[in-house]
Amino acid sequence: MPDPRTPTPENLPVEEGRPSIWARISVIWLIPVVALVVALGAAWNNYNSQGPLIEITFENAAGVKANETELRFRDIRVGLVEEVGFSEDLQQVQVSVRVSKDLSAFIDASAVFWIVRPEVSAQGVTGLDTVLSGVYIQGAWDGTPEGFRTSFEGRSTPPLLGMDRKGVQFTLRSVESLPSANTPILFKGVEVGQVAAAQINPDGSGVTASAVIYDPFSELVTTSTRFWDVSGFSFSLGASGARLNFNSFASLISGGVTFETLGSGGAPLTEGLVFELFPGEDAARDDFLVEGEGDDSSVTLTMIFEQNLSGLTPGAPVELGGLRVGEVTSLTGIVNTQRFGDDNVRLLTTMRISPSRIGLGEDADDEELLDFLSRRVAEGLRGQLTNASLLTGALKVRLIDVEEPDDQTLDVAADPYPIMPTTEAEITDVAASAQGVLQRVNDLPIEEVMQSAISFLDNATALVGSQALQEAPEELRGILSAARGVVEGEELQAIPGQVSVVLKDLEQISGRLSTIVAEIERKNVVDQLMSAIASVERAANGLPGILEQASAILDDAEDVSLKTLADRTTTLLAAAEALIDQPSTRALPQELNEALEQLNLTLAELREGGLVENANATLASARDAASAVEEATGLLPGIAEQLRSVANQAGATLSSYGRESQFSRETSAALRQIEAAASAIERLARAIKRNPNSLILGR
Amino acid sequence: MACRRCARVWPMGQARCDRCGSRLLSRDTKSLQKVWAWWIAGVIAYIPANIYPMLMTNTLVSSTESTIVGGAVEIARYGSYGVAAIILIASVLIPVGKFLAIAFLAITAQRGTNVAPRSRTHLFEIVEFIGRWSMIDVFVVAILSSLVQLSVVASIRPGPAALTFAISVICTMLSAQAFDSRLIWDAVRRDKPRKTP
Repeated sequence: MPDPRTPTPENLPVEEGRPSIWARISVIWLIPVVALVVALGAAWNNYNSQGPLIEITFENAAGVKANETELRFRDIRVGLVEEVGFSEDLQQVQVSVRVSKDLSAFIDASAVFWIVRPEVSAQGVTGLDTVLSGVYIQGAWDGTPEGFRTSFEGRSTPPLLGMDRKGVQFTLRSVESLPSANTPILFKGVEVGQVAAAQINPDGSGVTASAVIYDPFSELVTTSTRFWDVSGFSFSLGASGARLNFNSFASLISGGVTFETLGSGGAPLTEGLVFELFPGEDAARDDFLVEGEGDDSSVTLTMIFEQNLSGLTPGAPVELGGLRVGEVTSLTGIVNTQRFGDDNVRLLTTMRISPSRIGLGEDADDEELLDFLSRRVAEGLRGQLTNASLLTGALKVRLIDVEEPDDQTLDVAADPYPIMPTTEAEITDVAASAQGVLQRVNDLPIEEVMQSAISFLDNATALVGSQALQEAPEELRGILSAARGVVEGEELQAIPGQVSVVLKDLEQISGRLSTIVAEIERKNVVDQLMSAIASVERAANGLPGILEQASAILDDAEDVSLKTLADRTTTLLAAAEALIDQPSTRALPQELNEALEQLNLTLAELREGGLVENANATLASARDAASAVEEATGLLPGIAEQLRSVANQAGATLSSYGRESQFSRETSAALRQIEAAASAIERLARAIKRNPNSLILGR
Repeated sequence: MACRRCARVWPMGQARCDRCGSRLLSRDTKSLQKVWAWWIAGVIAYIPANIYPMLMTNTLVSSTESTIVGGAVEIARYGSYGVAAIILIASVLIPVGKFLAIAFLAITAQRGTNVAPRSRTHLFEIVEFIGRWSMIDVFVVAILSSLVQLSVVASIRPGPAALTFAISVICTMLSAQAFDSRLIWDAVRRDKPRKTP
């Protein structure tokens, strides 16, 4: 073998060409290379995908464990707690969370974090899954990357709008109280939002709470919307009486807030609007009436009332013509010796008045309202305190026109608010009136009255118990018996008998008359006829005399006492009926007719004998007789009238004696007879008047 | 020239084994390259197999992820030393031992050693035999995760380590297979002239 240290190229064996490095290296090396690449790639990827670390501080991080507690976004794990420590002052817990890289850009100032724990409240149970799996940190942020931050303040309560709900957030405020956290906002019983925990204003003037209305219900809320509390129940005794309100048993237990959009013109709900939470529906509606569409255009006025009366409260209505146009906002006393000239405390009332409620139009501004009020004040418009409710004694302010206005004007330039002149209060103080009534009742001399009444009753008892009064009925009975005796007396009873006697006499008279006529007929001479006619004439002439006598009697009868009346009546009746109603008297005309027929025959005979002239004379005298009869007949109605008035009088007299007594019955019967007599006379008179000739001519 | 698969002896120059059809090579010139390549790949895969969790257990109340060693330690803490030992042996000791053994064989085949070729052949046979048992861990995980799937209450899922561990085991097996055991004896023959002078 040649020495390698002295190389001679000629001796060098020809070396085989070494296979190239590619030929010598096995393809199999690709595998570890690939493995390495994959491993390195994985490692790099792992490192690269590792998100940034954020630090969240919590007041209370109970249940948070390193490497176990997750950070979730929309309930999906997006990070893991790597470390749990304390802040430098040991006041807070600092939690380091490794968040996934692709989400880190979104964890900006908008991000909020809170710890989800199981919670049992009146609204239900939440976070039940964390009972077993442990708590987790929930994060919420919006979808726009705005710069990564690494330090956050954790919240103790979840935000109103989690990431799973969209809605509009606004603020509720109240001067009294707000419902507890997570109280639902109900609209017609449907939960449309939620109220967060209330926070007291820094100055202590009230409480505010964030609230949220979920989409799409946020369209229901406008600036015309009023919210009120329906928690529990409310009992109110106000101007409209007593009311007990509660919405539902659910809200009774868990509380609730509801709302109503009272006008159509409001602007839609926008983020951050502030709404007042009213204690009740009435208050909410009242506020809307005053505030209108929330345009805040109400004008604040001041009134100074001379009287400092209790009963006016902030919120009391201000009315114009019965329409509520505003409300009292505050009340204070005012003492101003310089201005009013005395040291009296006056009531300084501040109120706001809505121009649109007065009717100045929707666009009316303060100036227009003040112009309007100035004009009206000059015409006599004044503020007046008056009763809002008689029951509660609440007062309200009324704007009225006074009859004789003084020359006060609306002091527009007054500070801080324009001052409106006022007039005397018109207050019906029910309490005072009731007290006055009671005072008067109290002042009544009831005891004296009682004393008098008692003594009166005593006297009455004595009187009733006296012997004299007890005998009075007996005496009355005696009087009645006497009256009955009078009625039943023979004299009165005898009247009918006497009447019949009179009639019998009349009968006899008529019998005699017929005898006379027979005589006339028998004698059949002119002289006899003449004398007959003359006697008829005499009789006829005598008739008025009788009638006058009867008249006189009747006149007397009107005056005489009952007893004599009865007597005279009897006599009169006897005479009258005997004379007139006697059938023989009625027959008299017949007989006269017959006599006249005879006369005719005689005249016919006489005519031949030349005795016509005599006959004529006779007839003339007969006519005279007839007219005498007619004259007498004319008197008959008068008699009848008089008879009737007598009867009426007697009736009236008797009726005073009592209808039921025997006396009155008999007297009535007598009177009826009298009436019958009178009507008979009337009938006769009518018959004679109708045909007086029949008396003479027999037709 | 013996077939490496069916061990039938053929005369030199034969390209393929007529019995089993595998290629006949007197010496696999790239054997050691293959060994090292698979070995490196196996080691690479073995690193994440120990870093990442092997088993992810989700129960109703908790979810735990355990790496191979962590799990073994945890089991040992509960007192099951036997089980812990099995896990440690099957998942740590054997793979690591295999890596070392293969590396030792490969280095000695290249550089020569004083260790008797016979012992090294024994070592190689042990490595080849035991290699398949390294998969026991992967099998356990596969069986557990397919059996314990009780939805919410409890579930076991294989972690990323299971995959890489399996890859690692496969790589070491291939690495062992790629080793041409005849190289051990070649060195002996090569050394002889050195020793003789």
